Amino acid sequence: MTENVSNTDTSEELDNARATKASSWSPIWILPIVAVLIGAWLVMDDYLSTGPLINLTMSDAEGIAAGKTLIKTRNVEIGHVESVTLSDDLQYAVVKARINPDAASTLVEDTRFWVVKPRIGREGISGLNTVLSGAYIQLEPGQSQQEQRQFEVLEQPPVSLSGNGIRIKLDSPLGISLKPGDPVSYEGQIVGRVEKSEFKPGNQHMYHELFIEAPYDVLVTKSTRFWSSSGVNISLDSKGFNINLASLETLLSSGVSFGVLQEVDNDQPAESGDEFVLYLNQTEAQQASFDRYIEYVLMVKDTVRGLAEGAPVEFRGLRIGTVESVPWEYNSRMRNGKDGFAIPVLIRLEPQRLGDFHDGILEEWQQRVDRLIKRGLVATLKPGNLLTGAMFVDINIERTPGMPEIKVAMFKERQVIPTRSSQLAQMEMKISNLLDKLNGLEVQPVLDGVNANLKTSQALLQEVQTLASSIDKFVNNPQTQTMPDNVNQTLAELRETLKGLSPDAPAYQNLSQSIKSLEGLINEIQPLVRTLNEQPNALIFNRTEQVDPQPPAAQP
Amino acid sequence: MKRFFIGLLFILLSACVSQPVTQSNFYTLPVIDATTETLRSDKTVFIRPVILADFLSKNGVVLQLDDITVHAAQYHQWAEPLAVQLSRGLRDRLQTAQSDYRVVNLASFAKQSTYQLQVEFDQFQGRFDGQAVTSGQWQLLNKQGETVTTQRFSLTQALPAEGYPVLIRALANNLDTLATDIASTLPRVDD
Repeated sequence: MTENVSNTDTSEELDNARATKASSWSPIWILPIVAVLIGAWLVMDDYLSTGPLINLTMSDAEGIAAGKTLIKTRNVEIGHVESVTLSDDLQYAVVKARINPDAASTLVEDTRFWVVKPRIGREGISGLNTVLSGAYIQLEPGQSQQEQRQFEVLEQPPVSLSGNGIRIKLDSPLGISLKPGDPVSYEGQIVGRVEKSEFKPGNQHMYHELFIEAPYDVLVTKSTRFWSSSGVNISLDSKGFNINLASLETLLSSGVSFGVLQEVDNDQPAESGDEFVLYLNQTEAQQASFDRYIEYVLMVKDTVRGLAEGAPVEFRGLRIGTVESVPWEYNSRMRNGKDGFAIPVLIRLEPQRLGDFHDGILEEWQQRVDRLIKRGLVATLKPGNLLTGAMFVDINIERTPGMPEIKVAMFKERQVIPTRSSQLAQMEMKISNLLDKLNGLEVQPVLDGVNANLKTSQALLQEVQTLASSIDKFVNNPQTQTMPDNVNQTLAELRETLKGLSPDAPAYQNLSQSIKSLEGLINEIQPLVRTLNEQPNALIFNRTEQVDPQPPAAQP
Repeated sequence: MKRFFIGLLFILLSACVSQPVTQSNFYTLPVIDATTETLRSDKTVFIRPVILADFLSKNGVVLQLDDITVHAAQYHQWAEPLAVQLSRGLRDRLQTAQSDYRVVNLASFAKQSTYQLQVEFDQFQGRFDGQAVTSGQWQLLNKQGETVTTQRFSLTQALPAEGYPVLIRALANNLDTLATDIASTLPRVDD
């Protein structure tokens, strides 16, 4: 319709200005919009390209500089430190670091951080390249899927870079000192490191955390024993002299060794976080592995000197147990009575020592020992080492025909194994020794000695004789006899010397001459003194002339 | 006026003129020749150091002005202490006076000499009456230190003229006389 109107009213249209409605927005607005879009894109890009900010806490921020220190993994830079501040409670340093977005996936639960700086350790010098470049923070990506932004920086570089392995907790009494970084060895081979050491004052125990690297982690099973292998272990017991050295490295510092000391069926591999006990040494660990035992008591009437805790209990030379306590319950009232002053000694019979352990063996052993005691099973203290004097317990069966059955005694709810005095054996040995000595007594050398003595005496007498003749000669010597003359001569010389001081002597004359000169001088001075006396100013003025009176001629 | 000044100058200059200084004279006793002929023995007489009266041991020649006053001359002095001169002079004169003994005065001879002579002078001076006076005493000791002879002597000699040299020669004559006296008193040596 409007078209029609326009066609018909063309002239009118040309004459009349028509108001057309202006466009609601100007194309110039495109510019700000584009600018805004670009700005938004920049912000977006910046936001997207900015990686996550993580918090690292460390006890000491040595060598860490804000905006400078880098974060690297496998020597690739993946971020940098933005700020270093102190925590609110001032207990540790908080490092805020920006990680590149493409490396953000590494920030998971078990990611580990540590500072790489020059370190001098037992393994040598590490991180030497950071002397000039400055320290950096190393990141080791974790395996977990759980994201995390808060991390703790490790004090020491982790033992294994792969991070595979198991962590084990050790509980030890005080006295075993392990430091982070100490080696964990298996049969002398280093397979891990001590990661953490903590002292719990509550129960006076040390707690250590060990890391066993893969693939050695399979060596640790549920029945594995850990013991300290610090330095050299020297022991002196009934077995003799024993030196134990795990590795040269542990000679300088401490270390941990482990091993399976007692084969157990169906041994399960250990899992991370398992707790074990750390023993003082291998022997103690070994001892602790015999955890199934029967306790017996010996009532020893002899001396127990040389019998120490841990001494072996042997049956015909086969070790079947251990002395547990010497003395044991000495102050118990049970001890009174027929045992008198016998010293109770607690021993353990350990069936595990003989291997082939199975459930129920303890009961079997108990029954067997009961039976044997009735038939004459006796324990004897025997010297195991003559050098050290250490004793061990020897168990044997002394069956004599027609022997009455021995009654089983009890002490503190433990069976008593009868003891036989070892005196007889000792006496036997002594007598035998004595006989040996008598046999070996050499009479001939004694006689020879006496003979030699006599000969020496004879020689001595001869020497005395020689001496006497020498003295005689000396006395008869003309020189000796002229000695008084010599003395006389000496006296004469002495007299001569003294003469030097007599009035005849030149010295005396010299002296008298000197005195004379002095006298002359005094005489010379006398007139002067007299003049001065008479006329004190004579030194300056002429003295008044005095004329000596002339001696007159005699009157005829 | 001019003359006055010349006169004053003369007076001032004349103040510098001093009296002529009297010359000191030093005397020794005359030395006599004591070359000895062959001695008749090897015995010796040792002259001990001479003892002088205190007033004689001064350097001045002593003159007795009256009975009690003595004057030691200031310009007439002994060239050598009088004791030494007397000891030496006596030795020479005694040696000349006899030929029995060798006369010595060295201290080293003291022990081995046969006799020892000790002379003490009380006077050895000029006197107001023109006499040279020498007096004192001497003593002869044997080897054991026992006195053999003791004698006093008092010798005078009249001075023929006045003057100190005359006095000293007169005193020397006295000494000659003393030596002769002593020599005659010495025990004779038997051949």
